[in-house]
Amino acid sequence: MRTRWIIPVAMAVLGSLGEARGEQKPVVLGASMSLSGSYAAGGKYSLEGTQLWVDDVNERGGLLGRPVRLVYYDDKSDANTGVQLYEKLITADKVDLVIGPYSSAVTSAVSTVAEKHRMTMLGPEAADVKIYQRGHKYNFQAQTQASRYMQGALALAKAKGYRKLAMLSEDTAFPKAVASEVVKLAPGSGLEVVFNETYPKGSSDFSALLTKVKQTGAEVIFANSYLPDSQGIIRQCRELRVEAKMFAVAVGAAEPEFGNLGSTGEYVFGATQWAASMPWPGNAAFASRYQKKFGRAPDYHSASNYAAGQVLEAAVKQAGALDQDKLAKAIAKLKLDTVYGRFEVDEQGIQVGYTSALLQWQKGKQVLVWPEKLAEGAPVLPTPAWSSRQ
Amino acid sequence: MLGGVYGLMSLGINLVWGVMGVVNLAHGDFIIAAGFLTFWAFAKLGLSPLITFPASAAMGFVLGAATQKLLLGRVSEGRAAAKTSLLMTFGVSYILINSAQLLFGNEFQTVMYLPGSWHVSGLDFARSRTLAFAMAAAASLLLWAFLRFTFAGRAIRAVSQNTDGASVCGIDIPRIRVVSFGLGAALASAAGVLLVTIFAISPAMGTGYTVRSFAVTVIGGLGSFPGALLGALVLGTSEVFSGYFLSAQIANGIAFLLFLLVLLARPQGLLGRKPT
Repeated sequence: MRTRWIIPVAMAVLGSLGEARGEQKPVVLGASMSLSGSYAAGGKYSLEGTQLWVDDVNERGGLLGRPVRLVYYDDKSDANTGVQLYEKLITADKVDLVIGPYSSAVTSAVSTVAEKHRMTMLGPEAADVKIYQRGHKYNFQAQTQASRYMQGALALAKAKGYRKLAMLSEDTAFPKAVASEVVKLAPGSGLEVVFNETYPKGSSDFSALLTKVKQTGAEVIFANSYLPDSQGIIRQCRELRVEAKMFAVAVGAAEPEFGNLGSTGEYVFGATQWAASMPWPGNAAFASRYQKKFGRAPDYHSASNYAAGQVLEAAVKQAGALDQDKLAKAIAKLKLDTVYGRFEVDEQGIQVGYTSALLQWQKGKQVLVWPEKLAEGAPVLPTPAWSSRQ
Repeated sequence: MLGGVYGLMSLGINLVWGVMGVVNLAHGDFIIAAGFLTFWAFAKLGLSPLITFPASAAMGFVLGAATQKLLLGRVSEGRAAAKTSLLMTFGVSYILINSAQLLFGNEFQTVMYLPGSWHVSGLDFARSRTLAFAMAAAASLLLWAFLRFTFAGRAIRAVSQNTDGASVCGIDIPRIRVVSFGLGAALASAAGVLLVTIFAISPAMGTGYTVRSFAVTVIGGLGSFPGALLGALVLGTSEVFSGYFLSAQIANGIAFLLFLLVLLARPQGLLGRKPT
């Protein structure tokens, strides 16, 4: 019984020794990431982007002179799990700062947790603007808004004079947001939306939907989807011989894993918000350091998360404290050139700075084809018929 | 076409359920484990799924037989035995999911074997699906011949009809259970090899396939071999047709709708026998 008090006292003594030696209590940054489930591909890139920023900021002396430590959990691509994890991060782990998770679906759910606890949260993977139209004070979009994702594909379709557009979308926040924006933008590009249906998250058989698409005679097919369903849809287009002049996917083609499709993935267009060749300050150095640390090239999710770290760093510096109200005010006014482009939010917290680009798989490589001033090559259109492929 | 693979999946769960009175909750995870093995052999060693098919089935048999021998077989007989075994298969399911996550990561993976389709008289037959259907049919035929013509096969059927009776006739019940659980896992593994050539899989999705196999078994009729195949065809076809005529959301849940309808209208399943 008597020994019970020894442990706390010993810890207090050791703790004060640590402080005496000048060791600073770290600033703890908390996040959940989709490390399993259908968003795992993008989730992993996001996590690595944040990890690289943590390394870099610590090299620069940390935040407010204190080292930064990242605490993260796997939300399994599930919004409910995300909510539980952010509650845990904020109330049990008592983190000093939070950063948003992967996908609009999970961010939408956890943004309410951040708002409730008055924690300032950047959403580096939340493209759906609806999340930020709910009058939140502590949530800020740090990803290109969904309406801009298919801009490039629409511009190319317009230039080629294509008329009929078919769209398949996963029935979650981000893909649906992209679809509804495309419906608004299509007439301006001379396109008629002849097919627009959703499929449940986790679907792997798209043959019924694609058979319907085939009958519409669409010249342009958009899949508003993530990596596994993008791959499944394109593959099944080939199996069912759904011929179109242009295939474009919202998320997935930007991931290097899309190349696993081999000749089937050739000529597919994909939205991307970032490329190593983009002329933003510090971008080239970011890409090469990332390659060195993780042994693979970053994708745009890595870059947007790294950029969110840069934004957080600048905001903390301006606020001069970890006070969440001061941070929110600083981010609302911040205009910062990051590796992802210019960060700037409007009065609702919606991202108005970040832009979008379009890439195409050509000869097994991703080639940036739009906008023209950033393009690495010319787009190949129309897409050759499936029967002519190896 | 998909029906063939569903059929193979549900034959395994049907067999185990019939003989042991236990739904193998790790069934879908055996499917996924074999899928990942196929992916690994294809991506790293360049082995065709045709070669992995028998190898995976054999590995499934060994794993399944070991599960029965070392875990389920040790549960003492009694009224709670079925419940304990059920929970144990749940544990096995978790072990398989987490091992796959450790070994292969969490990403979705697929084997791009035979992309494209054959064009026959105006219809498109996806090559991978046609092959999967043929392989599933061949494996089902083999199983049927085994159950029908070999002593071990007849013993399995005897145990599933009446355990006590079979025991009285001198059949070694524990051994038959080891063989059937092994066979069940082998069938799941065979189905997994075929599945990964059609769809992308990830470690956590096994449960979905357990549920599908279970639904097919209930729809087709417990213990009925042709019932399992019929149930699979019914499910495969209704998924595609409801996806076409209604919506993809309904197609996703059609298995449960059919499940309910069959339970209400014909509780023993389409081709099942009435319990005596």
